[in-house]
Amino acid sequence: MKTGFEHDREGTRRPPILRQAQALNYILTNKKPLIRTNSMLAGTTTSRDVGVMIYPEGHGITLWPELKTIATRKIQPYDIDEHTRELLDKKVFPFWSDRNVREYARAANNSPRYQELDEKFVLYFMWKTVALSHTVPDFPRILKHGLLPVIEDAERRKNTVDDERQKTFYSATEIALRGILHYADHLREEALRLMAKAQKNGPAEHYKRFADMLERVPASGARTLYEAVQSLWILWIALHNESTNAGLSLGHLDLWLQPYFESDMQGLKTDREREDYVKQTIELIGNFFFKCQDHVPLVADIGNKLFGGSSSDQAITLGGVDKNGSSAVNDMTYIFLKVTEMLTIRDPNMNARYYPGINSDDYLRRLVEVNMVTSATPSIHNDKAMIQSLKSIQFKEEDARQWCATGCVEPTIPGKHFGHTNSMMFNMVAALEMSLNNGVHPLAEEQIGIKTGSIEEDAFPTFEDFFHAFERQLRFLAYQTIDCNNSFGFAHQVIRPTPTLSSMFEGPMEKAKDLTEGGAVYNTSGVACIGLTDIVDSLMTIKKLVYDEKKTDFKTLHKAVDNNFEDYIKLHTLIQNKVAKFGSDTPEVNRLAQRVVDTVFDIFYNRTNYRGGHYLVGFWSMSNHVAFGTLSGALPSGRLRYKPFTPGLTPENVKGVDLLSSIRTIAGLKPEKMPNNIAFNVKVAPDSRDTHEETVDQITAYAKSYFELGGMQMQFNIVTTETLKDAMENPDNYRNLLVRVSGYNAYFVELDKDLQLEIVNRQQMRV
Amino acid sequence: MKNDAKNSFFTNPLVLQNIMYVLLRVMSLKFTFSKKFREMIKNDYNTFNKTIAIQTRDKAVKLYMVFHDGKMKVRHGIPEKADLTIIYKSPEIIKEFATLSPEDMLNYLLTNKLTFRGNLSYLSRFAYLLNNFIPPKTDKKTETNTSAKAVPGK
Repeated sequence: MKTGFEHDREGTRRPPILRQAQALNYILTNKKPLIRTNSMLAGTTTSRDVGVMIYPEGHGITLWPELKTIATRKIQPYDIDEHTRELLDKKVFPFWSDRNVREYARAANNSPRYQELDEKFVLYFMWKTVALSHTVPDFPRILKHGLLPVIEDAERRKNTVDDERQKTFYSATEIALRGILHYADHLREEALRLMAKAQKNGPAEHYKRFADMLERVPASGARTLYEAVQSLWILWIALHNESTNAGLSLGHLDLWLQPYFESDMQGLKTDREREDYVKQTIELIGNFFFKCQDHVPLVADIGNKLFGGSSSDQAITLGGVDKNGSSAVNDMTYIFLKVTEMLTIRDPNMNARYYPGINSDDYLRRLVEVNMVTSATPSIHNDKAMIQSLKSIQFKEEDARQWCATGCVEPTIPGKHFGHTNSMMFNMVAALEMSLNNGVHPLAEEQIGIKTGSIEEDAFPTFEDFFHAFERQLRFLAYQTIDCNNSFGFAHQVIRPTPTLSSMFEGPMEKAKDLTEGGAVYNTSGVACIGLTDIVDSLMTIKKLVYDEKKTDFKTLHKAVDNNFEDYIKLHTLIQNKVAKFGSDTPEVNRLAQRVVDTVFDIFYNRTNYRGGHYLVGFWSMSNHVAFGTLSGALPSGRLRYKPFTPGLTPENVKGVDLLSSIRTIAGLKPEKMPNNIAFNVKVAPDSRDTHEETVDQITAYAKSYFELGGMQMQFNIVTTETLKDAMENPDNYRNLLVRVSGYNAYFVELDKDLQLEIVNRQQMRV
Repeated sequence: MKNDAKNSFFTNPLVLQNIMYVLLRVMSLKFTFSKKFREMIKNDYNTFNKTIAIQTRDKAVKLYMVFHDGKMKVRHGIPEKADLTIIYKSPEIIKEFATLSPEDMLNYLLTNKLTFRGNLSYLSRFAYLLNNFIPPKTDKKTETNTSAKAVPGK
């Protein structure tokens, strides 16, 4: 065990994928089979009621400094016993110190500059050091047929190929999947044990049901909804033992589970039976939601600042259209919505697709109503715009129609598309700051970017000259992130291949190629671009005040920015009042915003990732708009030093920007240039004079208009600023207050104070 | 004036370097005399044989530690080859660090007050060693309902 599964018994070094498969098989085979009392689903992610998944080959080691203090830290404390602490300190973390993704990439590339920049944490954040699991497997196939046909397929293919590498791939798949079956067998034995115990005292039937189900799934196909959900849960546990619980997503579950629901219903004779069945289904799905919360992501304190309050972001997608373009809204859609409404929990991260003209108004109204009750979920997507966006970048129409939200909001074609949709958080504002300072980043206090000219030396006679400098810095920074992402991607091929996940995709089995090596049908990488509003507002200020109207000169503006506008109050007021802002639906600002979007799209799209696919940009920010903002200087937009950027693709809370103008602005941006989706945050304060019904109707009308205009996505916080302020003062009264940050849900009282303030300060729209 | 003099004394690179040298020497003695402490760098499963350098950006402060076979040696200067170099922005930042708990070290990466060259895992490990040498300074305990149990592996 000293070298894990790196060598076989003869001392021969195993290929990475085989090593990974053997390790996974060992873990699952030896995993304690637990069936919690009162749980409707057998199996647990960890041995604790709520456990922290530790992936030392990823970012787990960042917890090392906190092993003594983690139980008492302010945000997201974890209980830890002495045995665990010793185990991590003496055995686990030392072993993985040189074997994790970050270190492997650094050593293999001789401490490259792009990784040094990554480790400053203010220019970009590369998610591959944590995970590359932002994807959705082909669950319908496995639920329908089970794992045995996949194992048999692997065996058959292994026996028909001559290439050793290919043989190894198929062996690895088989070994990994057999680990899952061992775990399911052990759960069944546990169910039988509990059944025998219960016969003496009572409810044996409960355990018998588990034993019967586990005799069948996940080895074979599910026959009932209950079997399908149990099968899904075991697969989910297994996948999280291979891939980090960060953004791995569940997919279009209403559509996928509906056939089982219908089949069950057909066997029922009376209305009473059917009514009872629906109630049981609500309970089952509710149970599944709670099970999804039996693990939390490992977050070091530094992560609390970068990703405050984020869960594992296990996205579930509802509604929209099916692969033929017909409405996919069904009974299970409404069951999932009912559960979402009843539980109001942050994870799973609920995402609903709405296709204008195909999905009904009643459905949209119901989505809004659930948002109203929960205050923050589900996020609502425009199916038409997203499908159009995916088609424009060469996804087949039938595939594009099957898209599912991943992690926060990003689209993935389940079982075909390995898109690591959150490969990086890209701070576009850093490029703007460097273009203002001839390549020097103010916080880092060093020449990071290229020399694009000094304002003090009149390097920019026209606005176009300055925009060109900004574009060059943006390109420079983007290329650093691309090199860095590719380097981490190659490290994953060695450190963290994914035999289990690969077996649940179209492509890897046919090509004998792991997902990390480009086995999938679609192989993109997703980028989250942060700070669009701040950039557009800054560029607009420069264009308007310096070049068009000559109200000030660039040197003065630059000085004011450097001085955080202290002693430049007049100029600051001028910027606030006289420069049109992003979100005001001013044609000139809209054109500039589209130009920035086009620029960043082109820069990324034209580069290739380590799997041969494109880089796709989106405009959402998790909570990095706060982290990056609090580490950045003042901006020409008038935003002061260390203030958060605006979240996702959301206008600043300023004069001239209201809900309607914001809707028109965001909806006017071209979806095909934002294929990794957007997060448009809308904080709505219901009018106390309106009834619940009236408020839902009004918000629905706004949402409908937005989607009909072509807006891609919108997410709500239906809560007043006063309530949020009160929650800051009296957190105990608001333990379950759910908020949408930028793409994900979080409990407001558990957020970092900077993040809380950012949400408080968001513009409160009245309807 | 008195405070200013005190401040400038403690941020004088030479003084700081000597204070740090003494502290790290005490730490090295703890490895020698405390079996429990020593087991953190040498046990049945691993031996931490690495060199960690500490310096300021201007290299006014520069010393390093050599961990080898359960022992730690402290040296002045810059080593020929370090597995990890911890770089403080300035002597003032080192002084600021003295008021912090070691586990906060990674957070300082965010503000660029601290940078490093080398293996980030070793920085984490070194912070934990310090944490066992210097008790945590702040009581961060707050009420929360999200406590979860950390478990090893998966």
